[in-house]
Amino acid sequence: MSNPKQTLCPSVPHDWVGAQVFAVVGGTVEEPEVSYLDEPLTVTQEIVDMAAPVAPDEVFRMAGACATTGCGHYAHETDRCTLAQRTVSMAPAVVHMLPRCAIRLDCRWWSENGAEACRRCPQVATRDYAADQVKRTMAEPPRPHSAHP
Amino acid sequence: MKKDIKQHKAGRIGALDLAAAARQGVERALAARQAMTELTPEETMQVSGAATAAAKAIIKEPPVIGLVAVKEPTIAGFRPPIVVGLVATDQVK
Repeated sequence: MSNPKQTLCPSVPHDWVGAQVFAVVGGTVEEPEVSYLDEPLTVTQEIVDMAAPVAPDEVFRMAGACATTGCGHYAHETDRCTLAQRTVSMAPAVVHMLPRCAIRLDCRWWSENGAEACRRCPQVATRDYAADQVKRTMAEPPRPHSAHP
Repeated sequence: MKKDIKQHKAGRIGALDLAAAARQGVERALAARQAMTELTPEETMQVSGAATAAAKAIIKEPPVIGLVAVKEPTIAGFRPPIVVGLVATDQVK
């Protein structure tokens, strides 16, 4: 039995169905640096325990099926992820060479924004208590429109 | 906001190195939480003013850069409700 390929969100919570760890957030408080796994790993209790006493999404980057209309970042009008768009437009590129990434071919951020998303991804921590104002603004989903056709 | 791109390393790790990388990640996350609890001078002034409302206002929530599940139907967007759970049998045609 094979499932059709799904478009992946590169920043889901650990309890998202089918979530897989594909990177670890290291670096410093001021400058998070993401290291990418050679192969994605299914989220297990053992992996969750590695993040204790903090939340898994403060330590790991996890990918899972994009929720499209079930996510506050998804734009109906364009069928695109506005979070990825804001990341590309607001965050600085932090690498020249694209990191080797095990989920890139299925990643929504990559499929919609190409290399510009990947040059910014290595500074993203899914949940970051010390995020600067730019990242806080990036993380804010757009307000719903007052009318929808 | 300019950053020296060359200083940033997007590393690679194998599955065997995961635990060590995770420990470093936990240290960073704890330091980030610590930084969050340190008040700026302006915030300290707010607290010393003993105004409860002001103290509540400075509680910082971490931003989540990632999937934000839409749990409630939004009237403005006419998003249909999603029912995950029991469906009464008399509703099943």
